[in-house]
Amino acid sequence: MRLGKPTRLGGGLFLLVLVTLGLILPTYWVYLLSTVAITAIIARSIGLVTHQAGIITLCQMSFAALGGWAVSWLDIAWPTAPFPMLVLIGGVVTAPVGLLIGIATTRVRGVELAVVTLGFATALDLVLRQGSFPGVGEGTPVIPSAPFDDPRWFFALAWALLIVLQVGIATLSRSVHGLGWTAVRVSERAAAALGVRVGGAKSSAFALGALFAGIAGGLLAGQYGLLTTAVFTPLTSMVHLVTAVLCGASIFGGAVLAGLFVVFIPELLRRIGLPLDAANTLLALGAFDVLRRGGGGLVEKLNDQLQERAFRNTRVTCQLSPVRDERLQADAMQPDGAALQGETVKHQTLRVACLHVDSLTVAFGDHRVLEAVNLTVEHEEVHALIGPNGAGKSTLVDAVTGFLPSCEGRVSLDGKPIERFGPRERARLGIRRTFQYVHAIDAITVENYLKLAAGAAGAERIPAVRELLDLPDGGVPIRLMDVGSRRILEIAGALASKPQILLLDEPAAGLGEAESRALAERVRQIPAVFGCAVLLIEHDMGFVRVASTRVTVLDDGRLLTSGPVSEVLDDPRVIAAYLGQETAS
Amino acid sequence: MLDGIISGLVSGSTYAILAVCVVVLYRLVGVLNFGQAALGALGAYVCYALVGAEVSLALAVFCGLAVASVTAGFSGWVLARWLGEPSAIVRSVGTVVLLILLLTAGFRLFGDSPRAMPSLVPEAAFDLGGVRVSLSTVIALLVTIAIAGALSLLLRYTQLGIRLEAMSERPLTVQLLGVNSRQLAVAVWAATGLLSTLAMLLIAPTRNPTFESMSFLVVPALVAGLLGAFSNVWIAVASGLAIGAVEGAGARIEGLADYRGAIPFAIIIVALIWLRRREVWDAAR
Amino acid sequence: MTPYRTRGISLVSLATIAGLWLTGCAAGSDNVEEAQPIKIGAVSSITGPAPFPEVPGAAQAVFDRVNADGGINGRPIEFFSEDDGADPAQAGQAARRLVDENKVVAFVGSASLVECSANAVFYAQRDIVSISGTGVEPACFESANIAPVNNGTIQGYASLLYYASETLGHEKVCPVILNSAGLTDPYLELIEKWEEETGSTAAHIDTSVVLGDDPAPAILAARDAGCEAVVFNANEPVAVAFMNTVKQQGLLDQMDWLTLTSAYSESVFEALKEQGTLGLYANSEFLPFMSDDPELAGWRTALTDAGVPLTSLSMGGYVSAEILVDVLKSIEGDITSESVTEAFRSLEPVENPLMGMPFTFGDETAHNPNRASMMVQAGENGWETVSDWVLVP
Repeated sequence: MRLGKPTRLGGGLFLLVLVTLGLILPTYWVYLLSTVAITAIIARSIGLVTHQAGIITLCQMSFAALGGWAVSWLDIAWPTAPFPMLVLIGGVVTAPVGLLIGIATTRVRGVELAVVTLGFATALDLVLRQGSFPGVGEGTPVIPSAPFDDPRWFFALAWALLIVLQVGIATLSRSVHGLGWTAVRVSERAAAALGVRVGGAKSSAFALGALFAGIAGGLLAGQYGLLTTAVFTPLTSMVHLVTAVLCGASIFGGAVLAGLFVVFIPELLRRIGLPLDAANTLLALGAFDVLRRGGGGLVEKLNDQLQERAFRNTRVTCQLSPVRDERLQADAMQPDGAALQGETVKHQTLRVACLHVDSLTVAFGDHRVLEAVNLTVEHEEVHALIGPNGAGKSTLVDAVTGFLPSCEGRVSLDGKPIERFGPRERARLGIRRTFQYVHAIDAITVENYLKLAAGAAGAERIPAVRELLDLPDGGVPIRLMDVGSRRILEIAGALASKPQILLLDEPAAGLGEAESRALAERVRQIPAVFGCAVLLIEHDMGFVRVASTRVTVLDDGRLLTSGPVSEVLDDPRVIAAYLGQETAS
Repeated sequence: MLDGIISGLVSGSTYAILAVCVVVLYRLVGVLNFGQAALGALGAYVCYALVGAEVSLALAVFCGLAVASVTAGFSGWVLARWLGEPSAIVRSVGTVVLLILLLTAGFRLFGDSPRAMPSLVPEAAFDLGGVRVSLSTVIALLVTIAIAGALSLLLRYTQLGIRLEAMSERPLTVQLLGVNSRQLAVAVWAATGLLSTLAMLLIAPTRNPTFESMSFLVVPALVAGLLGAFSNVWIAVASGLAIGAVEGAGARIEGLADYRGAIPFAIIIVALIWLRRREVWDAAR
Repeated sequence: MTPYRTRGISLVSLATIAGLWLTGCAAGSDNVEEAQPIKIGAVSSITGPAPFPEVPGAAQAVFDRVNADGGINGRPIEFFSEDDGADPAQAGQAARRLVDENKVVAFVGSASLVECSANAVFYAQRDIVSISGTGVEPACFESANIAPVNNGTIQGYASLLYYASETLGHEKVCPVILNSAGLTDPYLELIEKWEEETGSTAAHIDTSVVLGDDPAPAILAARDAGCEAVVFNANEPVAVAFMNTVKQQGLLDQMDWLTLTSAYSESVFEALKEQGTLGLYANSEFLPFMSDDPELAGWRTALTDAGVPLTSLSMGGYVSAEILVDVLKSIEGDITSESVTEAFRSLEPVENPLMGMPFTFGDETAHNPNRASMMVQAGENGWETVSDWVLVP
């Protein structure tokens, strides 16, 4: 974690405030602030699972219950152990439960996953009701070992844990694995195409969420002494979820605000003499308002605004200049390009095509979308795939990248058959794609997106990609970029991963004419600069003419023709198929 | 064992009807309603509160159904008005908000004081092959099947059904075609509110549940709906009845009896691992 | 991290300080100078799924009367009744606020679903006494600092067993335990103890039904076991549903049905009458509040004047407050939480006309001072008292 001077200043100030408050406040307020920290840990775990990985979790308090149970049990079995260690063990034993749920539900997503978490919450609630928490039956409470039986030390412990967990999760969120969570939230499909292990990302989010909640549960055991299921009902999990949504708990400040709300709203209601059940109502209505407005919780929004201000004077688009000195460009790329040149020569002597599709047939029910299609993309070429809407172009891309559950025929990459691989494996092997609909993850920065897309292998290529596609500064959040620039960023990410072949699905959609032409030029340079083949789907014939060397035409799921650009595009059959009735009449 | 299965069918019918409501609402409006059972609980409690105030049962039932429909319709309007565009996930969090609000209101209005929960079905029972079957079980089953049948016919064969289906897929397009999708959404919501109340009126006399426990009957219903991937009404009905039956049977098995409330969760985990053994990707493009 | 993050953090810190300062100021402005009232607290579930507002309400009624009569040696009692909304977090918050900010010297008349387990450790740490009006959880009966004046479900259940076997003289008594929150084991222990003490044997013990589920399986099992009396633990709504199922199975007149004191209320009676299931027995943990016993006059007047509903539960709040007033009057010198706790520790048994046995506190590590019940039965004209005090040894 790089700490800038202002951050250290802010963090130091925050710590100073905390320590001062912990020392000077009366014990009641110290107690309340401890509760704030514990609630913030739970809120942050929801922030991780729901805001970052995109899974609605209705069982975070159930994980807390498991942590609390473990701590209650350990406290009796091992009375001499230091309390912080018990709390950590409580979290550690809870994490595998989250992991198991994550693994069991790898193929479940969205609202369905919310149902599973609610099912877990009610089932665990019921099971816990059958027995009591350890020590409750005998009236043996959990008393934190000295010095943590003192409220001020307990306060220090709770906040220390919150801060340590936050620092850990913030660091992890910027790693390739952590960026995977955000990718999975935006689209599992696009995440897999980036080489992200979708199931792994969801499971790890669940497991870490469980770890956090388990630690919070352990702290609650120390705070109450005796735990009951009333602390951990499914309804409490729901209230914590809406509070996390309201505050925007994917950010530290949001999690702390959630803690402040949960503790001080009832406190305020008491002082002004309103009934306590108004607290849940207020939190729920607040969350609804946040949902209605969109764009994240209170602190997330504040953060966004500050971000916008910070980047007010920074270029946030890809400005592809229309005219460019190609020789200069080639010179700039020389080292990289030369290195790759050698590899390509080797391929050419072997005479194996980069991508070979042999009699590919795809049927949805009775309808054959693709029928016995053959396609060969050589190394070092930009090959265009054209055809009218509904001809099956995108289906072909899906089939090649492994997104179709079943298809007949053979697909080989560099001579090796790849039919049995899933999309992620194919991405790792070097087949990368972009989507018609832009999937660039708006919650992260340009730099992090490239890091995620490139994976461990491609970090050194990032500068070259940046140069070619005129990307904005790495710190720019993607959400500030326009659609066209995001599209270019997606291509940049794919290139950074050192693919063997890049499948571009309508890259020029949403670009202006000048930009489109400039992009076509860049696409044409891709094989030479990056040593990677390109399969290009595009409706804009001008783009196709500039960018590609050969063209394959699909019509109604069948191969119409294939050959050099100029020949194919002037073929009357192609014109007829492409323009349909217009030419016929 | 058979006794247990039969006695579980009343609960099963309630789960099944709620599951049908959940599925229909999800298919037509694109909202997974966590507050479905709470809407029914509101209707049922209004009904029993009126019965307690010496109102005739028929009128009380009518008022309960009306209150639930209006509340559900209003919730539907609010969600369509303000959360019409965002994703299904956001709208579902919206229904979690609805559930919290309904629970708070329910606790406020009805507390936990006991109420006579008279049965809508006359108390009678008969022997069927050595098993005692109560009339309410039979009626509950018939009502469930009638509701599911009517809804699936409506969805498949009527103009309204086709419109509704189209609405969930392309709300904006349908709106452009001149269909008032918000009005339709409100209508669907109101109908599910009414049916949920009916489901609660079936189960309440045997269990006399609190407002809270009624509201959380949505869990087995959601599980049943999930088994049918929130699209197939009949699988949802079968699953709902099966969950009820398994719970009933589980009550008679030593060692399992105490934990049978966890059965829906076990079922859903096993079923999902089996049903989703092949990779399926999220919405294309 | 970038600068705007820092500003976020600083803003949160500032907001925290500002919030604390504002609320802290409000807290600091309590004036202790004027009348020097004796401060007493209560933490109860006043909102939430099962509200008990009448219990602290009854305690307040007692204090109002005492204050009107001149207070404790001239000092009025100031009663702080807090809500916990059935949320342990709020219960913990409320108790700490009462002790640390309001400086209460004892807790009286609490009635909460969650308060005992949330605060037992805290009361022990501060060595402050809580005389609960209604102890709901097991934790209420397991702490050295908490002494509820009601029987609680376990002792109440015991009194029903003793009544069924000893007074009604049934041989085949069947305990039905509707499972809830880890209470099954204490019930089973209790049944063993009852079997030892009375020499009877439970004909069938049923634990298969969870509180709130369809009770039919348990009822059918009792039928198959040929029980003469079924003792079941139910809250108010479940008692009504249970009896409805009993009637549906045609077993109402074939055996005696006994349940806990929660059923002893006007609304349960109405519901039982409505569905035609009169005859149910319940225990009354205090002098039956629907009887016309002259001892009830003081309670009735105090609560009616204060506008508190006349319920069985409210007697707990009333009795606990009366006991506290007695104890406060007995203290010579300063009234602090230490002196109040000390007074309870050295308390001689206190008789209260509404309780079947004297209230004791002493040095014990757990308290369940009230183990006496009177039995009532739902008859045509309401709940009728059918026994003298049944004492559980």
